[in-house]
Amino acid sequence: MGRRHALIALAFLALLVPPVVAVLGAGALERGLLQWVEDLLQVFSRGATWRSARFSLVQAAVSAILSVALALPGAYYLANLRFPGRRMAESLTLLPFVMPSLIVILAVISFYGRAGVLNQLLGTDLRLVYSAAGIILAHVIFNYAVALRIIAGGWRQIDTRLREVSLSLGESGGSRLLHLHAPLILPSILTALAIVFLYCFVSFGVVLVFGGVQFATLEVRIYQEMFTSLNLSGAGALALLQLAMCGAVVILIQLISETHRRESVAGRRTTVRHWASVRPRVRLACTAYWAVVGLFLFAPLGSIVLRAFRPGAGWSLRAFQALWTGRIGDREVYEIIRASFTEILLTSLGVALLAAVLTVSAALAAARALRGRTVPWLDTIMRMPLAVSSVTFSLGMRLLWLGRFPALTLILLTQAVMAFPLVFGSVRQTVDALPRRYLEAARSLGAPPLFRIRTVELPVLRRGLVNAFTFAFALSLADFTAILTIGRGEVVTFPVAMYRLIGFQSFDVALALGVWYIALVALAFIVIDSTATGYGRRSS
Amino acid sequence: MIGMEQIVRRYPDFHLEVDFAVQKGEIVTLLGHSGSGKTTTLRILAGFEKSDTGRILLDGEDVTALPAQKRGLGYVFQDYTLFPHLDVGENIAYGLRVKKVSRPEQGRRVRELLELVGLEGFENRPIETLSGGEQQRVAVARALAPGPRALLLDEPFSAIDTERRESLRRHLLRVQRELRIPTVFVTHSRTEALFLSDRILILREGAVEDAGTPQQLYEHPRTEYAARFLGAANILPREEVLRVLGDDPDNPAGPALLMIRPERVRVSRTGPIPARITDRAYYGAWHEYTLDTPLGPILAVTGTHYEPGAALSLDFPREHLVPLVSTAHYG
Repeated sequence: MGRRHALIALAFLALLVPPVVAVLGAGALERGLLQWVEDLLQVFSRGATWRSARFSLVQAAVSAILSVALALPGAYYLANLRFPGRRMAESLTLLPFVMPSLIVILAVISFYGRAGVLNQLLGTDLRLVYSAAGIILAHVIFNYAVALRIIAGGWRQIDTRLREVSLSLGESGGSRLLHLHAPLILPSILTALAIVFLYCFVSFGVVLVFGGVQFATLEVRIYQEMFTSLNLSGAGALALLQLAMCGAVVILIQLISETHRRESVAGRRTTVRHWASVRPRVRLACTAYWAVVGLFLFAPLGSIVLRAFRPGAGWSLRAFQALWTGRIGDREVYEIIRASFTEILLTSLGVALLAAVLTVSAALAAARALRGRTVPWLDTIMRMPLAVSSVTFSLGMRLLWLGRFPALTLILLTQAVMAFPLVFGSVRQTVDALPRRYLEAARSLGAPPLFRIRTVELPVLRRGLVNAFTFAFALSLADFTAILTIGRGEVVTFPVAMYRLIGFQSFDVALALGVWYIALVALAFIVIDSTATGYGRRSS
Repeated sequence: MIGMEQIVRRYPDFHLEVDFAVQKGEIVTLLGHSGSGKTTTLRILAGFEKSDTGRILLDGEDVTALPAQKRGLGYVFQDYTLFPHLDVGENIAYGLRVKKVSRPEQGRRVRELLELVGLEGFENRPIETLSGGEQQRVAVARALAPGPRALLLDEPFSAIDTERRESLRRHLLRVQRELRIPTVFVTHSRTEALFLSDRILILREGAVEDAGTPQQLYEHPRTEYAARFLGAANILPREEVLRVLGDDPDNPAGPALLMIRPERVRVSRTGPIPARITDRAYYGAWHEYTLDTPLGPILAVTGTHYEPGAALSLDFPREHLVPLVSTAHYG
């Protein structure tokens, strides 16, 4: 048992650590050790460094609290009430999270911006976007689904019979919420807070665009040191500081999940209440909640669509046509993007497919090796990529391996490592939910290992694995950092194309590309989701 | 034949040591409280867990090194563990699929087994529509389908309500007798053990406390623990009993305790031991009395009705006085 765990850990660390070390130590190689130490001290003595650290912490904390607060009722409804459109709500709310940051930025600007839809509708002059408020707003739109899924997952673990016990003991609803449900759901809430905090802490695109010079996170400072000041040791020093702070949060997450880990009880029963069986007041509250959340998340994304079809004053398909013809006005769109629309489509889908297969296979292999076992230190290692910013890791992969391996391989590996904690978490939960007894039953009937996987594990785990696959696929599709940093512009996916179009002030075509992207991801979600019903052939 | 030869398994806080064999057509029961090592023994036999030393023999062949899937043993789990994504027929046919048995043959065998367990026509039923008893019978059919060399049953009745248990027990016994398959049965219920077994092994803290046929164990248990496990027992100091009965303690070096089952205590108006009823319970076919005697409280079962407080006499027929090894030192 120990050896297998050590091997998994070693393989994973061998992928993760060298690139990070390369970034942290690049300055030392370039400048010599003494000069490097001096550079480090200089970075840490700057007020700006600590202001950025403080801003990173505060905005991440506020974003996390708001995301969780907004997600809490939704998680309750998802786990406990069979409301109409429940599956759709679960899939669609994930949409913003898997959008490239560029799309969310465009969405927030076109809806909440000074000339945005909201101001036009209300006739006001709200200046929300280019400020801390804009950053937090975009973060909540981004991370709502993360909080929703984690907390709903926790709520689904709660045995329905506990509620029945409480009812039979005559406990009131309020007391039940406080004394029974709150303690049981608390670990999920804390985990959601910590994960969203981490994402916001290392947020890059949103802060870069909305923060200006006034608000910068450490992630943005690393980028600026690297590409604006060309100061490798400075970037390394900031990356180190960021790593330490993130590492502390990851350890905290680990502590939470260890203290609150509960063995699943045999015979646990969870039932979801039928829509028709709840009081009208509950139905109204649930409907109102999803209406508000729907507006909050999708009005901004919708405004992208709106503006893509209204590139000027009137309705027009100009921007979409340009994607096919390669021309808009006197501009050569394909030259700006440096790829045709078909190429973008094929490259994006191909990379995402390969990355998803790689990530899910690795996660499945690791989860199977750990099935039903608690190995806290190994779980911590698996979560480590959460603590590494994608700018740092991609940069390291590039510094270290480009030239020795094809860029595409490095991109796939980078995306797989960065997506691993999320995908692994979900695959592990799925795998652990299949009791070992089922496999023992198959063994006692003579089934060899591959036969067991094919006939018992994969069919029973199918839904969970499809979910993980969809997730990995979408994360890869949205990836911008690894593609841009490692691909050196040769690998053109949707985000790269949009980035280039924005750079050349072709907003309309960028928006049209955004619409395509949203439509593709939504379609993929709905298709994949509908193929993963129950155990397959039977629908009863 | 299936057997375990000097099997030893050490855990940090538990030590298992067993040695037994099951002959063709025989049902051997591992009986014990939870934590006694009975399920671990069964899992080692099945190959789900390894022993530190010892051998597992199947029809004379040493299978200790064989993985579970190559041992050819049918295993029925406590909660049946039917595959949730397969229907009844597919669950039963699973082991046949592994053996690459042709489709028509699979179908034929599934129907045959469903008939054997009394579930004709259940082929296409989804698992979640079955009652506990039906699930248990499907699990037995699934385990029997590939033609196992022995059947291992892990508490197969524990999830069944009491009323249904008896008919399922009879049913299982009939199936086993029909197939004459060596069977190891794990339970903590003495009723099930006494009813189903050809032989019983009482496990205690990882070791065999006592073994024998149900009748031997019930009527002539070797130890105090075994005597109490299998039913109500009056356990008394030997010397005092012999003194009260007026017998000579002919062998002073023998066991210090004597046991007599309540239904063997002779209750009458005349006898060597004066007694007074202090408590009674009515069970329809019999009465159970607690009596105060010079030997302390004695439990007696009889068909005769006596009033509470009645002064009676007891006698212990010598052939039903069983010497016991005291097990008090086990704690």
